[in-house]
Formats: sequence, structure tokens, C-alpha cells
Amino acid sequence: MIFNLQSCLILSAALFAIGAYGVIARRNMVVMLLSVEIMLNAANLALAAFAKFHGGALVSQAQILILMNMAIAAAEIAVGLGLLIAVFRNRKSVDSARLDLMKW
Amino acid sequence: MDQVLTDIAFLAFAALTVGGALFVVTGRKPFYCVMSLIVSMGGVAALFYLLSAPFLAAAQVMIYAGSVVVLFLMALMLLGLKDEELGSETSAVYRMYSALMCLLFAAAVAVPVVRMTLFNGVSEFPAADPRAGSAAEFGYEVFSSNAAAYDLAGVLILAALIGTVYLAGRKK
Repeated sequence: MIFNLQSCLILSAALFAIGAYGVIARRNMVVMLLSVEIMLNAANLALAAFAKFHGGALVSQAQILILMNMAIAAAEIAVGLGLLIAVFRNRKSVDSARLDLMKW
Repeated sequence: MDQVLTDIAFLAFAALTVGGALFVVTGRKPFYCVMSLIVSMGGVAALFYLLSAPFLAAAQVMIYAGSVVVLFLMALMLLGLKDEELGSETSAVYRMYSALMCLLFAAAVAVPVVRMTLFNGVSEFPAADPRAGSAAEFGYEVFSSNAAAYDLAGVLILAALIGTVYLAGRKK
């Protein structure tokens, strides 16, 4: 009775909020990218919960959507880390406060 | 008894996932944050299994805990951060304010859910059809009606790989 749709949605909201906190409040860019991963997982969990509850015949379609989301997340992380390495080569720091070339 | 075990498993893996996520966003050394993300991804994989998605549980472990985290570790080793390069973190006031804002955001999602529960009662999951989320049915759907999405995902990952190799490659 604890395992129902509402519990899964609240868990997904909590995970998303934790990921958002990591992106907002951390300056280390590696941790920011990790927090983006957490947010993507929260979205996948919400989708899986709705698929189990309302799915019927469309459960497999929802799971395919989740798999595509995972593929997109993996591609995005690869590009993000490439960018991070390029930035580190130029600024010698992963501190996001050091990326201030466009500040006036 | 079956329901009680499912509830206990859900609570345990939810606590594991949230605890791992909390340590990711508050850890000091980035290496420990990456390790904690593995724990969190494992928790999410177990939750996928509870939500009748066994293939997604395996895919979660393979993709996230197996590839994304390894990519993070390789990038971390390439960066080779020493302790003095880690930099300072934001001020305590800023962190408290952003924690409050994220709490309000979670509440914006959770409060209507709780109110709907108080009004309508909880939405129990329907009885699990053993074939519903199985890998056989999932594979059939992927390769019959979603074959284009499957191929395009491969093209997307190829494009991302080429871009990453160009971005992170040595420039002389």
C-alpha cells in the first residue's frame, strides 16, 4: 500500500529537486553534470510509474521512450564531458565561477 | 505478505536512491560524488524492476552505472584535479537559499499529488500481468514498430561520439 503511483511521483519529485540543487548550488562542473544525470533519472522513474499504472497495452512503448531517454542522456553526458575537458584545458579549472570572460 | 515485501523493497531502494543523490550533491571531492552516483543508479535500477520494467533495470545498470559513470571517471582522471584546483564552493547563504527553492519546487509537485491522494485515495498499481513489461514484449515492440527510433538513437550516439572526440582531442 505504500508502493503506489503517488509515492513514486513524490520520489521522482524529490530526486529532481536534489538534482536541481546540485546544478544550482555547486560550482564544481563535474558535480553539476552528475546532478543533471540525477534529474534525468527522476524523469525516467516518473515515466515508468505512469506506464505501470496507466499502461495497459502501451507499457512497452513507454519503456522504449525511457530507453531513448537513456540513450540521449548518455550522448549528452559524453558531449558535456568533452566540453568540460576542453574548458579545463583553457581555464585550468573546473570551477564554474572562473568562466567569467563574458562578465562585464 | 507479497504487498508488504514490495512496500519494504520500495522504501529501502527509494531511501538508497535519495541518500545517494544527496551525497552526490553535497560531497566535497568529485570522485566520491561519482561513486555515490553509482549507488543511486543501482537504486533506480531496482525501482525499475519493481515497476515491471526488468529490461530497463538491466539497461539502467549497463548504460548509467556501466558507461556514464565510467566516462565520468575517465574524464576525472584526465582532468587530474588536485586538491587546490578544486576551488571553493558557493557561500552558505546561497546554498541555503537554493535548497529552499528546490524544496519549494519539489513541494510544487508533491503537494498536488498528496492533495489528490487525500481527495481520491491512493492509486494502486493494477495487478501485474507477467508478460506486461517483459523483455520479450519490449524487444518485439522495439524491433517492429520502433525500429526507426532504435536506429536513430544509434546515429545520435555516433554524432555525439564524433563531437566528443573532436572537442576533447589533443590540439597541437
